[in-house]
Amino acid sequence: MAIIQVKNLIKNYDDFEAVRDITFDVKEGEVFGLLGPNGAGKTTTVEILEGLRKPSGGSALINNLDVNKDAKAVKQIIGVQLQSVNFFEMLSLYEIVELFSTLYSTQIDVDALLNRVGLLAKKDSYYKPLSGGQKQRLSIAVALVNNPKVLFFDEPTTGLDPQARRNMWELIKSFQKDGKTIVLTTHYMEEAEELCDRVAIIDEGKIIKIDTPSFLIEELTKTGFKSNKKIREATLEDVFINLTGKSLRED
Amino acid sequence: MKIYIGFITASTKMFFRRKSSIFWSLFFPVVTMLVFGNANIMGFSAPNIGILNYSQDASSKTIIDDLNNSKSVKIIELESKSKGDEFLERGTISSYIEINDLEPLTTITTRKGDEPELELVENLLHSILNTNSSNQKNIETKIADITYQGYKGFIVPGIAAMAIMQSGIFAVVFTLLSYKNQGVLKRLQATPISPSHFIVGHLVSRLLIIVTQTIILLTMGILILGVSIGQGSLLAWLNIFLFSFLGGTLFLSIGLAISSLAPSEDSAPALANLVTFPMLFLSGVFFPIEFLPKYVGYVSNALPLTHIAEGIRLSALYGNSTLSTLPQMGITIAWLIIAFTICAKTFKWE
Repeated sequence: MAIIQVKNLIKNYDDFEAVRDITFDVKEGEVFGLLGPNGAGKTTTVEILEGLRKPSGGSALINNLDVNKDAKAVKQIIGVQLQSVNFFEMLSLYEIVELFSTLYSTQIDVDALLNRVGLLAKKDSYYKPLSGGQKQRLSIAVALVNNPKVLFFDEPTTGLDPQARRNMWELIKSFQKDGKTIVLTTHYMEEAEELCDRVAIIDEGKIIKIDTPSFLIEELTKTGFKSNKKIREATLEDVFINLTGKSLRED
Repeated sequence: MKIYIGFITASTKMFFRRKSSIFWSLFFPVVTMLVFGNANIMGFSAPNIGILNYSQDASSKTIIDDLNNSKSVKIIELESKSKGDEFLERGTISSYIEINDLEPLTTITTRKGDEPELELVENLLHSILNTNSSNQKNIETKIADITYQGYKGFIVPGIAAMAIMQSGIFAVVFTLLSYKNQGVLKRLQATPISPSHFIVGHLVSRLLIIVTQTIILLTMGILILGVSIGQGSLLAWLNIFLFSFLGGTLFLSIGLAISSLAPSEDSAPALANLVTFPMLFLSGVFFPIEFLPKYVGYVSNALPLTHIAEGIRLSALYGNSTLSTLPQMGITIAWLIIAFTICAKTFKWE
């Protein structure tokens, strides 16, 4: 069953068409990737689904609720992690999570949630001095306060070191195990390959392709395409992780 | 309701955790108050002497001219005796002279504790009268039952009023703008509640802080400078809270209007300074507006802080209740309505 149904979505700014007639479905429980270069329309599409922007045309339903007309009800069942957004600098992590749970009129076990994203030890620390990876994980924790059905992650690993990125991957996989549907935008193809059940490739506001990563790779190799890169048993990132270990550094 | 309480608590916590907010809203005004309260500000100029001329005689005019020419006093012409008493109480003048055609020809009135100055004025008047006319004129001296709290009494309510303005305007212009820039408001938009809940919570928190700040500053004035505030009248204290509350709401609205009207985010703090700076000096915070040139006085009377400072000062020093500060209250409320309307018309949530 499709939990997200996007149909002929359009978003125009004064003299710029950011999203031009996009249609796709996301099935319940899958990790769906939106891939594309900068300015392709990924973030605009996601922000329309999150109820942050009004579409110029077309429709989008989440759990059969219209994101434009029933924005409030949609926001109740989704969790979002936004790009370049900060939280209150002078509140502790515990206070931030508690405050956001109030906004959804729910009572949650804040410690357990912070523990899940590996921030329990930092619960009394203010937001301001956190490292980039810790801020990102707090953002994930806040996205979970309402136990959402659908999670939106907008470039969750941009700017993170390899350890923090792998840690984020593990978290996202664990959310999928919990039965949540995840919409992810990313610039990193290895990330999409690792996490996504299906990906949509967007460019200039249009979807060029939607399928599973392995199908898309196979489709390309069938045309006789050969990568310039030599196939090796390991990548430089594997070397890096092997030498420096998997544990997170900023704690 | 729970959401508002959550935001008010969060906003208040953040205020007390930020060292700069404590510095600007408490430390800075307290230090300014202590420095000015202990400074001999009025000492560098000649004493101000009021003149009430009841005489039809042309010679009275020469007496006034001679007093003016003596340069050792500054003459302020009074309209009535009650104005003279009011100015004595407020410290605008230190004594006043009445010139009559009947005996006693001149009367000098001053306050308790100002006897040395009385002597100076009396001597000056003697020397003028002696050289001026052949007939010796009789001088009578009086000490009015008026206590004057000195410059300390003036500066303490003045600083309390100044702090209401500073806290109100800058709480919005700096704090809300930074939340906007950091994307905090955007993140709140992604929740089922609108960011307006947060902004309202923030404003309520700041309003509570402003009223607390007024109490703290006045208490500091009582404890450290020995100024008597409220003159034992509960109604006077209530009136001070009322002015603090209305003034706080007024300046928070002006702050919101500034952050909406500023052409760019960088220009908002500059615009805030442009609004607050003239009021610092023209609204009777540091010195009475009677000291300003007449045309500047008109500007002063148009500024909201002038009336908030005056209202607080009247209640603090003379125990006036709300009823006897109605003109000041009226102008403050009129300004509040203007600021609120502009703020409501221009405000953008994003």
